[in-house]
Amino acid sequence: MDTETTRQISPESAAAILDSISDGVFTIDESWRISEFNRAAEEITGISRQEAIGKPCYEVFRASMCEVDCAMKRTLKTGEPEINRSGFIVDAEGTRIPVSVSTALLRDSAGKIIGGAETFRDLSLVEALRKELSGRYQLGDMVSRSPDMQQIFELAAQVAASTSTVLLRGETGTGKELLARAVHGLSPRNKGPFMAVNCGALPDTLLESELFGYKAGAFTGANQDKPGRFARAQGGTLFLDEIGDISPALQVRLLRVLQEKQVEPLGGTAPIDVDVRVIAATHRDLEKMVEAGEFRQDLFYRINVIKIDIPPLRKRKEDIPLLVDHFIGRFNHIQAKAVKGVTGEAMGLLMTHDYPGNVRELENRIEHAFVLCENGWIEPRHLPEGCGGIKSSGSTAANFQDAVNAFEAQLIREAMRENGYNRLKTARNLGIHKTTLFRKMKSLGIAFPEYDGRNRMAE
Amino acid sequence: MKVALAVWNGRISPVFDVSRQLQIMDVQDGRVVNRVTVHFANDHPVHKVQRLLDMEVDILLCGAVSRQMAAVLDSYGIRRHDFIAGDIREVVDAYIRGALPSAEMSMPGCFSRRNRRRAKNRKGKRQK
Repeated sequence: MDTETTRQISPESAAAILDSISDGVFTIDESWRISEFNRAAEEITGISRQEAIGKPCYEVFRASMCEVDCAMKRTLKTGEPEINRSGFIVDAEGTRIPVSVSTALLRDSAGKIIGGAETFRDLSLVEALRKELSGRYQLGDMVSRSPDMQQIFELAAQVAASTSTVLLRGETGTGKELLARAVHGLSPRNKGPFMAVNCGALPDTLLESELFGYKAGAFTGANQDKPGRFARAQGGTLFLDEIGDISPALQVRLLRVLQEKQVEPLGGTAPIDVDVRVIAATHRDLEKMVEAGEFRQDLFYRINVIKIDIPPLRKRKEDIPLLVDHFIGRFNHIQAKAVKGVTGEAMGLLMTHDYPGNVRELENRIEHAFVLCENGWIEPRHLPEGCGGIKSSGSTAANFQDAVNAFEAQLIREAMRENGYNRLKTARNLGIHKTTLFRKMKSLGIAFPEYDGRNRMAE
Repeated sequence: MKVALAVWNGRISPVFDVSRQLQIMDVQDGRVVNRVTVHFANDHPVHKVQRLLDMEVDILLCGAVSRQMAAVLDSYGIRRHDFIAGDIREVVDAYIRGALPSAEMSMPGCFSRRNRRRAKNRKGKRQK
């Protein structure tokens, strides 16, 4: 009876049935080329039916299992269907979409195998929920949902396994040391020590003895041997913050250590072997410093094996609520308080701030609020002055219009900066007329920059 | 110039993240003068990149690359033509002719989308 029914279904009806299924479905012929491709398959893969039909299935589907362990190949070999095999596909944007795949044989009315059918389900939502539950939005003490930071988390986890030197770049307060600690924590060296040195905070001679150590009698006051940070980080990781601040003489010594994996303490006669993974960080543009002759090119190449750029908080404002929750949880724990969260108004103000001090600044703002707020909810009056560009005026909460104005001002400042202070481009970018932009800047009290994007000094 | 191709069954491997075989060619004056095949021991992105660096590869021609894999390739400064599909010989020929990227050698759904983005980026840079 089934066979009879199948025979009566017209191709149009079959296509309509396929399109009504929420799972992606495609069929292949005997030469592994796509013969049917339903609507859900178009949506999940981002490939239109016209583009898919007639193409090799593995070049359309692009699944992790195609090359190594193709589910369809198994089915064709064994005659048995494969059910809910897990893997991922890669779409044109490079997104890995987690999928579960099932396969079955296609036969003609005579029972001859004429190809196969594959159904697949997008598991992105399930995966996202799993991530949420397992805390994978967190890496060490860093939390983020922003796609850029997610990518950095994955990159950090992957590079942790290698011994390569890592260069972290980012503005102050973005979490370079936290990321370095996370890389160390994920690496096979995590049983070894993690040593952090701020190269910009110490004068040259002190930094030299701090890094490489000294022998007793090396200089006046050196009464006993002192091992340097390189020696103390043996088997672990050494984090050199503000690497762009070290002197040319020290750059030479550092290069030698990285090349030869040996340090010679001041006043020492024999070099000591060191097994240390170096993670360097800077907020400065090292490429420009190399061009200007301020930083050795060979050292730059030595430390710039893997580079990770950490975006500033103003470029990932979607993280602010998550970070606020994270800090509240931490301060509640440390200070034994029961702060529930921030009110909508306070969050609005936190969202509109520019954060030149990045995540550290946000953390300080929450810590400030904790001093004033014993329990309950953090309100605008608990936040420090200047937050969101609005002065907190004692018990008066900022009203809706203030929040809107602050947000507009923030948006305009950001757009101006991104467009090189060119007002016409800024207006276009914001989708408003330039006169509207001027009017808004005037009413919001945004100063016209001294230097504008037309490369001349404003009068 | 050393050109590496991620290969499978005589074609470009569909997903570089999980590809296992690499064909490395020396291209001089528009001709392939030497060709070796190497294998990846596992799918770890750092292992793959390290292999490419060990083989002193200048450019990688490959199929789909996830953003995670692309980030590792970028962080090690490896140039590539990705989302390529097709027979190895035809791809090599197109590369030597300077015809990559091309619609014919791109994976379905990738050429117009990726090129639109590239064109948009170029336009953005011109405006700046």
